[in-house]
Amino acid sequence: MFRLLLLFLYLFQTTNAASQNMLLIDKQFKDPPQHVNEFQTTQFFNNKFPIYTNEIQLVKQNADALARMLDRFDLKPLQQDTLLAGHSKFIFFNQQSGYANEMTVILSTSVNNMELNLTLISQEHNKRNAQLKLLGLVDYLSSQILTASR
Amino acid sequence: MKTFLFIYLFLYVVTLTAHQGPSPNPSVDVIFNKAFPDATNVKWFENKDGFVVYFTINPVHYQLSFNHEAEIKQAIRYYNATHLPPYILSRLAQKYPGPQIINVTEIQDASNTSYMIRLKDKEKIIELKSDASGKFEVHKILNKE
Repeated sequence: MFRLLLLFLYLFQTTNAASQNMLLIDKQFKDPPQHVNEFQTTQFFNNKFPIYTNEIQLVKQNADALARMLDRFDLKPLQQDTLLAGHSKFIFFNQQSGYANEMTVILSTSVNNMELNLTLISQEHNKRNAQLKLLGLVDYLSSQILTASR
Repeated sequence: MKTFLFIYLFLYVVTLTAHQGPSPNPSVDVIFNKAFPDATNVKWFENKDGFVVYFTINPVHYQLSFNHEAEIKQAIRYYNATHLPPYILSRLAQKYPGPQIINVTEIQDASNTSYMIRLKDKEKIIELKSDASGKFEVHKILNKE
């Protein structure tokens, strides 16, 4: 009887976790993300940023693609690119200050008829630093997916 | 077995609570939705001073700035002549009867409301600064080619 109850609880817990359709990530990639069913703006004020659970792979792929794109040497002044990942998107733009590039990357997610914007990289001159930040997001999401799927 | 079941239930509740996170304070959502139920194109950003939200309630564009504690610090609205307060509009028509109003930027914080008003005539574009009492000050004059 107890075993049956345990099995029921295990299945309920697994189903419940799978039905939570959003991941609230820590804006500094420090605290583990939280699975939630809905998002409130207050959470954005509390250092959280939403990504739809079923779009995490796309977000990771695009962060990785953007990091590779920065390897190109032909960044143009006022270049702007957008990489779509479902409800999320990466907005990249490059300004030039003298001979130096100033790279900015914003991760944006549309939820509840509004758009939340997280500045991942702000006017960064150093290409390597910009890439590390993007790959940091990929690592953070990768480790959390493993944790979440256990 | 009962102890094991108890531990399992305890861990389950703890895990569930951790997934949901702390109960969020609904103030920002409640206040925003109550104050601006017709807002469209809502976009939130974070900067070093706090948070900024841009939105539209046709045809007026809004920009509200909050500190990190979600207290409003500044409100900016962009609109055309029809939304300018009638007192200022009347004084403007009296003092500058010729030029047309192109657009207005209204800036409000805890202590002050000011207006940047852009006018145009055939030769030039004039930027005026006004306080809430309609005291005008020429900020910039640009000559049209």
